[in-house]
Amino acid sequence: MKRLCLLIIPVAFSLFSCQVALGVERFPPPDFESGHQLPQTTYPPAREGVYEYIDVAVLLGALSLSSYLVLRRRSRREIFALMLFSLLYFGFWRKGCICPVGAGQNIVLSVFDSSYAVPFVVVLFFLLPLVFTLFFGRTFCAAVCPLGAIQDLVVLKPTAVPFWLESTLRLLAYLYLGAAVLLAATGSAFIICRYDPFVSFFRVSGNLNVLIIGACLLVIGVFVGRPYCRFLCPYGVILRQLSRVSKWRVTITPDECINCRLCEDSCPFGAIRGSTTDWPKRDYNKSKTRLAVLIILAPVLALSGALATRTASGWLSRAHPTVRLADRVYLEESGKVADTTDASLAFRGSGKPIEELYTDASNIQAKIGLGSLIFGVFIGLLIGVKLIKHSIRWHRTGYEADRASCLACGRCFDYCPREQVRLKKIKEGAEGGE
Amino acid sequence: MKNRSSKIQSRRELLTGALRYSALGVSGMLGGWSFVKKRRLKRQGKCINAGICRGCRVYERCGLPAALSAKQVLSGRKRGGK
Repeated sequence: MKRLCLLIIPVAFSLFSCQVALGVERFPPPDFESGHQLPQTTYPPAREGVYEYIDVAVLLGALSLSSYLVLRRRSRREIFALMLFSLLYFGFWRKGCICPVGAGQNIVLSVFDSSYAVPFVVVLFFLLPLVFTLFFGRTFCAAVCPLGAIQDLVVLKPTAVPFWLESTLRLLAYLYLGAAVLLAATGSAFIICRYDPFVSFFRVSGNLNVLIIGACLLVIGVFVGRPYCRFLCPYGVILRQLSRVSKWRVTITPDECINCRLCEDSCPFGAIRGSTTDWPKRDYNKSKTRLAVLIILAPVLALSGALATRTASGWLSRAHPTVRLADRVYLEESGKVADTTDASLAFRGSGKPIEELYTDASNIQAKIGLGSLIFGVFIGLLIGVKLIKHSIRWHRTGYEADRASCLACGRCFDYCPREQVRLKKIKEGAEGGE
Repeated sequence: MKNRSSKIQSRRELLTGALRYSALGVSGMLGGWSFVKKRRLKRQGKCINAGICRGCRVYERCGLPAALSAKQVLSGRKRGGK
């Protein structure tokens, strides 16, 4: 019953939010010709600088506490409590902004645009979780990220995703990261912010399509643990890689794995890897051949990726407002469309020559074309590396949390009999016999 | 045999340590560079952007992608009657 309520509440909340958005769009736009005065849009006053630093302090405190709870206290209950706090503070109180996931775009823009400087608070929001991951693993994902927290609440009936499917779906996150970097670097758009699926919930308003995507992700999240974190989060991609070299990491057992296999199915995110057995000689030889083929194939994949994204660069470049405007003006000039838009009217009103607009647009398109090429090579190589990785047999003597995939949620701790001994819930020696 | 595996282990630790501190160094450099750039632009009177649209003082006349995205969302909402 309690689980059913937990399922109904987020779904009802999602539907309610969509209803608000639908209700808004049902009304026709006001008739400007009838003398209706459109009310002036108001914006909240600038937040005092000191509050921004309070946010940074809260982030620092939450990261430190999360790392302590995951690695020292090993308490799922306390991790869950901190996760709820983060959801309330960074999610509902701070409305999901500023968040480290989107902050990366500001950093990228700052690197590529000489006239843009990113605020130091944004830099800290981006870097602090990365630094913590380098030392303690993904403790940010465990209990600090509000996007992860909202999904963690709905993990009710998790099912195992086959490894090949998980690995393939994870490519989406790389694609998303690549596209976000490309569009931010060229000053086109901040797509991570625009398509953030859960910010609309935190703000109880937003684009209807994004709200529906968020609601769908939450419904999927009931059966597939944290789908956004695992298959889409672009920040998660960076955290995954940094987590591989972290100084300390989550261990299922507090001391030594006894291979009891009790933890095997405890992870809803499929991040537990079992102990390995020796390979039969025949398989080993076959795998060596496959590895050689894949290494040769890697440059071909890189080239194919480059070709694919080069083709898509025209579509990607339309994300830039100047390119869109140039396209529109071209259509109007060539008589292919009869009406005008606000943007084209404003452009004509500015007195700027059309040729200059076309030149600007073609420069931007060239930049996006080059970026797409690099992006394609990166994706092609990534697929190659993933295939190569699957041809290599890793040696493990016990059950362990995968360094990259483990979200440090702490669910597996209680399954380990050695942990029960540590907590003095069972006696030493009982874990093997009962 | 044990000696060999411990050698591999220590080599692996050395490599991960090197990667870890390199990443830390890059992060530190990025942070430092951002700080210096911001100060430089401020000194030149060019730094007007607060980076985050929510609460930004120059949002109205800002042409950066984040602001354009926010304006697009807000204009959509305005058309919806809110």
